[in-house]
Amino acid sequence: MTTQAINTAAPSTRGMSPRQRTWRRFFSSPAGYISLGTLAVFALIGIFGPMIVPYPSGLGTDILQPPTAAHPFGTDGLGLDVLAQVVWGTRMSLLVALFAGLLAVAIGAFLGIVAAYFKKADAVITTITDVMLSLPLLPLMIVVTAMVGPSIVTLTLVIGFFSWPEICRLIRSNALVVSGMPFIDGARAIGASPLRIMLKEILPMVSPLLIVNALLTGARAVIAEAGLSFLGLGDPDTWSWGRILQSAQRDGVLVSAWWQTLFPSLMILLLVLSATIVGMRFNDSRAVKVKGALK
Amino acid sequence: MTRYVVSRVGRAVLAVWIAVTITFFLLRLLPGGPTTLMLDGVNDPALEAKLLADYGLDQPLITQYGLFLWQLIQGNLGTSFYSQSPVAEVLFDRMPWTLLLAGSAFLITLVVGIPLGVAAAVKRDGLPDQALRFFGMAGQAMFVPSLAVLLLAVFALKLGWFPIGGAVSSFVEGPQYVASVISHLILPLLSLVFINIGPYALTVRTNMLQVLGADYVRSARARGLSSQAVIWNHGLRNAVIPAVTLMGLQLGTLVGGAVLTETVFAYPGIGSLIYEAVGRQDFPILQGAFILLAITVVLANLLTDLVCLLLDPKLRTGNRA
Amino acid sequence: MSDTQNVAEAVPPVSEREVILDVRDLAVDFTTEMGRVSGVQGVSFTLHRGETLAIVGESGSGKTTTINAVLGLLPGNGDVTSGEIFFRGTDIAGYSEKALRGIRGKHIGLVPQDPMSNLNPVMRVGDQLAEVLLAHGKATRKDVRGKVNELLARAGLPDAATRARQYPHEFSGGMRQRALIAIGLACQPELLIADEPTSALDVTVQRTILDHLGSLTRDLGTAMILVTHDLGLAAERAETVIVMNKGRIVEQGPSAQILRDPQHEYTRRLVESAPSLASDRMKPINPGALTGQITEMPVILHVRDLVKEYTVRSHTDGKRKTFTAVTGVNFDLHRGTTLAIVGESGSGKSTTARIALRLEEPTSGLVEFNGTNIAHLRGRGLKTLRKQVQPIFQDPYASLNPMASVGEILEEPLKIYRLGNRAARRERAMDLLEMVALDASIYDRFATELSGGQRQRIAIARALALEPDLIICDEPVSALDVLVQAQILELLMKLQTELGLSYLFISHDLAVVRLIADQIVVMKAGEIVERGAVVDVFTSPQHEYTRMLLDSIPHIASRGTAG
Repeated sequence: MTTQAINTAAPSTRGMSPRQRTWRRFFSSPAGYISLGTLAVFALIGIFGPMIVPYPSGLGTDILQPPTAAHPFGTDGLGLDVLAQVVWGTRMSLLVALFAGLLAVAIGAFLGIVAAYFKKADAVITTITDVMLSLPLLPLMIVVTAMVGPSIVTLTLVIGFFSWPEICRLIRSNALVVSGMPFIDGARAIGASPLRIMLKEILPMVSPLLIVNALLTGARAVIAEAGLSFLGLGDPDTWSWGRILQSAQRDGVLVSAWWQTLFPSLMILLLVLSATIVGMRFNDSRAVKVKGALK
Repeated sequence: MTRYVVSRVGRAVLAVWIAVTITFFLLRLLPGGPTTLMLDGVNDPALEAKLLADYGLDQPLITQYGLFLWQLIQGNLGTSFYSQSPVAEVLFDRMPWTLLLAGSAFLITLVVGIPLGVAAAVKRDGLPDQALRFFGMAGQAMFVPSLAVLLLAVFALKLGWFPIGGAVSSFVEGPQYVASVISHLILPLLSLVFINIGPYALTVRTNMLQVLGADYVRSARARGLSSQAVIWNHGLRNAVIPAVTLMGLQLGTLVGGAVLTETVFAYPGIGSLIYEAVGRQDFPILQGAFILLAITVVLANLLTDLVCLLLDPKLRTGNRA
Repeated sequence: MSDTQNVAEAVPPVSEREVILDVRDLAVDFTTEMGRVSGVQGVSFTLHRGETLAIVGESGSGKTTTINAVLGLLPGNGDVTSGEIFFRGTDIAGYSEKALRGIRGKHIGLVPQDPMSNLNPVMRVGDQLAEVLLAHGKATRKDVRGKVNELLARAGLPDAATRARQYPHEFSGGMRQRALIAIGLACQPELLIADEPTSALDVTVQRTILDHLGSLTRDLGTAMILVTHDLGLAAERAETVIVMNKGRIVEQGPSAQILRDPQHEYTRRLVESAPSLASDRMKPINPGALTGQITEMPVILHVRDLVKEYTVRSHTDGKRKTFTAVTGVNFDLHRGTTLAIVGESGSGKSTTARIALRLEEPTSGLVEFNGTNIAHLRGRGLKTLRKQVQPIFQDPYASLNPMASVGEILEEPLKIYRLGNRAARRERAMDLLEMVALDASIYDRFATELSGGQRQRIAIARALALEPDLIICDEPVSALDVLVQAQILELLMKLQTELGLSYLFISHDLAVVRLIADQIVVMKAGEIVERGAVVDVFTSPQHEYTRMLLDSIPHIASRGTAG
């Protein structure tokens, strides 16, 4: 019964909180700030880009132009500037990723902690989670989005609502380890309420995992959004990276008009890659780790 | 053991039931109901009443639900809005191609992914390990259609090694038919495998590292066993159990990838059917396709659970999972 | 310490026999995040054929690193930086993995520490034994089955042929350790390394396993290195003892001599503080008037007919069954005194403690605290109880929230009861730190930065924050090193005298209980088998189980009524 369930870093960094130590380690290698820097650049493009670049709409005269000085990313089948589409798409993809990620993390963390702390709720939540995990999510999202009608809100809600099971499973297994630790009994014995225990004792222990998972889920949401938009379920009133690819697919020029495929693809790749690296690096840097089911 | 099998079968049934129920109620609970979708903006009360009666939509919701489940069990998934033919028929025409594509991707991922992950774990930080970590990360971050287009551009258009789309050439028979099927299959398969194998092998690697760090592996080394014996009997035999379970869980993602891949390659499976149905607002097809894919994935998942039963003596001799 | 002289019998000289292992000036370094860290330094010792040598030290002393170096099983970041390891005359320190393979298992056997995690869960036990025999050419495919059964039987496993076909999860802890002993000795090695071979097992099983291990190695003429944290156990089982501290050998010599006349300051403290060796109770009481005095005090915790049942699923057929954790438990804890509940894991002692803390509800029975039945208390009444009854748990690493600072931990109970403002709470925290003899500067530190002893002091300080009447100590020192154990026990005693606290003290360790308790209750399989004043139970145990527990403490038996 003396299993030591907590890994602790050696006390070389006296007086720093576990949080401070985590970030110190995070920035100790270039991968840390390069990936975080890339994310920051994406955020800047998403926030300020659309203020500079006009919204691509209507019809242009130069159809399917390869990249030129006037159109650095070329034009599409309607003669619209692909660069402008990519810039506006960045905002859209980031918004969906952010809110879908937050939604999924909120649901997943709530259900995970409740399942871990209340034994009676556990069986139900675990079964639902397992069932959701075993269903093919993209086809499910397709059906739901198609029926509800595509819009940015639908996409965010659908992606967020179907992405929580993985987080729930991870948080539950970690919160289960935490809630079995004596300091939880200790908190109960000094009279802390269940709500206080879940918020003040368990949540801080799993919160680093939540940060990691918000990032990874956000990254997956970008891909899911692109997938849905690519299949024609994107918001018809906003540009997104998936919709750029969709218009190329519709025109049958996915391969020949390579600029229309390449640039949004690169954006997806870069964003997802940097979010994943930030998440994994943060995970590796955590000062306090709960042994058990880590990623 | 019986308890394990019963609980897994029960969960599979539950999963299918939930999938079916979600789609049923989604379609009925939409503002305006399903007829809005069918009428598509046409304002014709007589036609609407006829449609409601035809589809049993004037019945109470619970009766409709019962009827829906009953028809489903008989294999009746409704009629396609677009072609007016039974959904089940349309699906079964397309299903073999998806089974071929997703099934072979599943097997390759499993058969290649496990040794890859194990090799990387055994020689940690060696060249294969670093390569795997790179490709694993790239696979996770790559958007399937992007990769598919890249493969198309290089191997089909530039080099001309493979056909650019479809599943089989017309007017071929016998061995030529098989060869044609294979040459059409390779590019979609490659893009699907590439996306899935990296993340999968990475997880196998993590499992294997955990197992290699276990006390019983150190003990096995302390007994002077050969490194093959340590890796195979003590390492892999333990690491393979979570690896198989994991593959079961990744099936859903794999099928999602297949939908996108088929769309790019115009591969005539369920995936491209879904793409077409989205464009045509053909909801019965979308619903049917999802139900069929869900059943397939759940069944395959059940299969991997049963394989685990063979691999894990704890499950076999009755201790709980 | 005069009564430790007769501990070890006079040993025949072993120095003329063949030298099996000769370690000279061994040093091991580890590469870590903080740079190179020394694991062990200047370790030298010699081991002759048939000799048993014990390496004694606390966690982090370098004892495990030393044997890992001998086996060539240092973790990836560890290197032997200097020194030689002569095994039967050949230096194996620089041997390749391949060359070591011919030695490990065949000439040097290992009995690892934790039997639960050292057998491959997906391989039949017999196959794991057969594998070793086949790998070292000690059996052929034809005769391996017979040999496996024979070895398992010799290791004390009844019905060996059936057992060989089972998987580890079908074995109990003791049986697994027997299987691991069979594997370690399978090839009749010249040297067997036993790494804390029984510390994960129940006390009563410990003794039989150690006896068996001793007789097997004696019969085979195997030399043995026994690694342990328990000096008493080391002295009882080994001819020579090495004491290690902070990566260095601080003392080595014949075990009797080390116990009788420790030279080094550290060893002296170790001998003094080892509960299994210390002879007297810490608390200054008058043994004659003891029983009378205690029962005159008012009863603070009154337990009658306590029953706790759980519904569990059977391992074999998956059916639901009722498991009785505790049944018919009665006891009275008197104010200002200590009642110890002693028993092995599964005896129901922790369940009893959890019910007394009202972390769980009993199935039936009466639990009265200061005259109120608390068995099913809820709401406001429960909150009042929580203020008066506080816990101290076993594992100081897991009993404090690692994300919180010491100040936050100490002030949490005050916050929950909305006691005082920020400044008052801080002042109270400082007082508490002083009470448990910790420096005020620790207030801003994080629990993760503290040692086990410091953490347990924090846990005690927090338990005191609400000025409780009763403290329930669930194995409060069993996760600590012996030196620290003694300090924490002393602190608990001091606080009891100063604050008039009552303790319900849960422990598996009779030696510890003897130091601190006034009254004792012995539990076995959910029931109380013996009760009484500590002196009485130790000097004249009535129940056979109690006698067995007492016997299994190294040396207590040989000293008879010394306590």
